Amino acid sequence: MRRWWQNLRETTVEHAPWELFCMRGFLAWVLWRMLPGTVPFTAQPFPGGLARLADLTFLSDPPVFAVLRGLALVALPLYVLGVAPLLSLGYLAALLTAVGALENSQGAIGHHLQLLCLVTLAQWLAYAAAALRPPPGASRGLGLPAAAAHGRAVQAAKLMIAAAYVASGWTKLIASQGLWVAQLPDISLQLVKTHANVYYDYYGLPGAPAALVTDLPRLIAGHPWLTRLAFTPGLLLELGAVLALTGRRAACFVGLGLLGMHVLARVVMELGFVTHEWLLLIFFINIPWLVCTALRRWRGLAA
Amino acid sequence: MPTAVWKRLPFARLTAVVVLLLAMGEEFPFTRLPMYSTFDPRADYYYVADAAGTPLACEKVFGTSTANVKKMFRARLGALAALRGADEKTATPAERRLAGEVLLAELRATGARRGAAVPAEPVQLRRVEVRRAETAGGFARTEELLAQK
Repeated sequence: MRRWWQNLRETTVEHAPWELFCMRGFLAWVLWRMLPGTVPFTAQPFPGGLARLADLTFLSDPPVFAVLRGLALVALPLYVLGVAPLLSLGYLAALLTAVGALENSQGAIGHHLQLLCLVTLAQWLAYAAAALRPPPGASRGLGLPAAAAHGRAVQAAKLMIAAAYVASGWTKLIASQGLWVAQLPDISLQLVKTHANVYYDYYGLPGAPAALVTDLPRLIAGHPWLTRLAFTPGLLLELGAVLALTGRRAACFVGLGLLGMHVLARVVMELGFVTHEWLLLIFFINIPWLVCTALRRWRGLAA
Repeated sequence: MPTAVWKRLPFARLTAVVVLLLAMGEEFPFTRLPMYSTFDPRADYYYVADAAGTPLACEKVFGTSTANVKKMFRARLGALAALRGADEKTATPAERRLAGEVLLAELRATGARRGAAVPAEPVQLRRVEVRRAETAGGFARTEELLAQK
């Protein structure tokens, strides 16, 4: 008899073709949403990542970027339809990565694009691997890959998302030298800071309620153990994101937990991780599958 | 032998990707996602104001956030201090003022390219430090003018 921990292994979920199609559709929508209309950066004074390898400032030329953005409008539907993903998804991944690298080469590293780029690049690698070594029973084709290739690409996306959260959890432990939980009461200062940031970003507009801006930081600072109890589950969720790879339901539960963490951060700290939330909804929680399962159960109960 | 061990690891591929992300650091598109990985007993935030010290809505006026303004200032200050083998923590007031002026000029230029309503008059870069305190509502703030341009 296998013990429970022997079942803790990466499992590739067999998604139906319509699920894979929905995932590509939603991802394409997020990619388009995150692609800026223009790129205002004419220099890369603090080059990082891809910008170390190439001068990406050509993206700031409005006519050039308009053409590149226009080509994305061709690549997106092709990717959604599963046509030539090596080219269509490859183009989208390269364009967004270049834009993100240039944006992050201004001396202000943001984190709203990395995971999206990593997911598209991981998917592209999965398609490339499937083209080089086709899954059993599938013909080798670059134009219209078999469903198994799309399945591999989705698994690669899940792997990348889970790995990013686990890495984030380890970063907290490493950077704080294991003292992250002990330091948590000082998160009250971060709350004061993030609310001040939003206040000055949109100065003149109505801000967050006083309960969040002043009362909550005071409460957190005044009750260190309550704070540790409330925020430690976030770290455990990140480290436990690995469990999302063990199956469909596990992915859904982990996804809901991490989404809850992001929603809480949005409410309490006015910090949004929009792309992270969408990626969790698309690949972990898988709303179309949830709806379909709920409908099936409801019909089963009604029959 | 190493291959056998690798195959026995329950999440071998994920482990490899996590190690890669931690090793690569902040080299786009790689990231360790270091946000809120440590908490100091003090925090600071920055804002941009007009010459009279009245805050300007940073997103509207410059098309970027005050969080970005802080990161950009620190990167420029670090680069300036590095010229004499120092770091931002030991930067001189003159270096802080110069880094602030450079940043304000860049904010104006980038904001204009974004189509934002950048003011023609001089603007100020201000920094606020927050500490926990027994009085003053639990937190004490000190504010300084870094630069005006």
